[in-house]
Amino acid sequence: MHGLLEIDFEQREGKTVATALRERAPLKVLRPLYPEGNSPAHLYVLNTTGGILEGDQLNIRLQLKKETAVLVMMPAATKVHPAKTGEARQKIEFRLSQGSVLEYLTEPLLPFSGAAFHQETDIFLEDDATLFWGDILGPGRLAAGESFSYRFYENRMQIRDGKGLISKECFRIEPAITPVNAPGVMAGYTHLGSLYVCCGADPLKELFHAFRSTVMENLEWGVSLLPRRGLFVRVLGNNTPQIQDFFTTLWALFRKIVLGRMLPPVRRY
Amino acid sequence: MTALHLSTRALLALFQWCDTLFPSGAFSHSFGLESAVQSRHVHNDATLIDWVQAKITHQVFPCDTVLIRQAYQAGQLEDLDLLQKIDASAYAMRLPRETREGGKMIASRLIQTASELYPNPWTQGCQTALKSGQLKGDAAVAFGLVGFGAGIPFEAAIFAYCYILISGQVSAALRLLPMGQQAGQHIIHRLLNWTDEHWAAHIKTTDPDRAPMSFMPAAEIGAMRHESLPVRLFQS
Repeated sequence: MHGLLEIDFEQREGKTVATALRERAPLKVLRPLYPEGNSPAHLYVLNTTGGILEGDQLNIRLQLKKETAVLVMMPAATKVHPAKTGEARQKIEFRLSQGSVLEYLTEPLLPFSGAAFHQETDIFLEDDATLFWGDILGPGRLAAGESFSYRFYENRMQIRDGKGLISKECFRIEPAITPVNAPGVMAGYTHLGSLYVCCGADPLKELFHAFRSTVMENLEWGVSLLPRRGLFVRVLGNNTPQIQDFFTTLWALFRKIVLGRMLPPVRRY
Repeated sequence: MTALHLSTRALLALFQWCDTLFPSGAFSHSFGLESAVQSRHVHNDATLIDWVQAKITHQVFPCDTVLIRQAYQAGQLEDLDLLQKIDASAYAMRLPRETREGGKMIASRLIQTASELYPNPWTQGCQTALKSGQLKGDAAVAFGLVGFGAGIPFEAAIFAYCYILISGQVSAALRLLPMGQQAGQHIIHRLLNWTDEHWAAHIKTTDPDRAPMSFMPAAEIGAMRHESLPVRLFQS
């Protein structure tokens, strides 16, 4: 299926509202919720078929206009179903205008046994745009005894601004051809978490030190500054809740230091 | 095995670069090994071999050799704008600061040396672009630049790159692990043959125009943690 989700957010009298919305199955959003007052708008993105199927081409495009704030969440893990010979694709494009804030926290991506999946993410930041982005990659349907038995998962993600690339990730995992449990790669762990934060220079400095002083048992992780505007966290662990708890700790620090507020009352994380 | 046709001049240039005297600065880096030893992921001969093979499989072949190939292509076209795009993209892929900045230092030394040893409008143009900041400085891209500048066939440059990596990793391991010189030579020999075999298999199954890709999250985490180590032997 050729799913589509295209939303523009604008600021009207201090409130972030969705002004243009196009959606095509299997992608769907719930009407934005405002559990924290006028902003951010909380947006739940759903996949109504319960997963990504062979041949699917899904496009998600969000535009955050000036001074808007949006929190994107997904109520369930993204399950990528087996593809016999074909593949599935998902493209995510976010444009953050001046002074806008995007918080994006997904549930894990789970490529099932035999899955073949391409994902491409492109984020463009205008001046003073703020980003908090976390994603988790699981090894498959562990309950069914699957671990790294998908055909391939290819991921490209880039963050850009007017000066060019800020960061770029590009990898292709084909577990049957190049096993990933080696030292330096997954190093025996099953779950991978990646987190990006971009914000102004002063809070960034403080946030970087706060992240570095965070102590987390049973996870292997690190944080480093990007060439400009942001920082990057990688974490390896053996289950999703462990990494989600860690991301929630970092999210609370981000909220406090960068946005000057607490975590929202209702959340999946 | 891959058959190569080399002029004596190219062969001698290769000897020069693969020598530890060649001032790339690479030998003061462990490229993540120090951190991997500290976290006990690498602790003996077998895990060292796994580590180097993983580096070649997940980083060197799918990413660095593609960058070297692209740098050769930019050299053939004498296209500095193209080289700048390749370099900027490679630089953005080195996510840990230490990896990015260490690579930049090595790239600067390589480009400077190339512009002096093999002076021509291309190598000198690259040196000017580096100084002005037009080139950010990625070590693999710079290696391709030097190789093209010295007139070395692409595949010979790839093997030189792998040789420098392998001998550098084993040399670092001699300082980080309880391992003797003789054992080190056996490991180098084994890894070189392994590389030869796997390169032949890699090029048979891979689209040469595929974008550079790398997947080494544990090594990235190691590099990030290495940044804040109070005591360390190596720069990375």
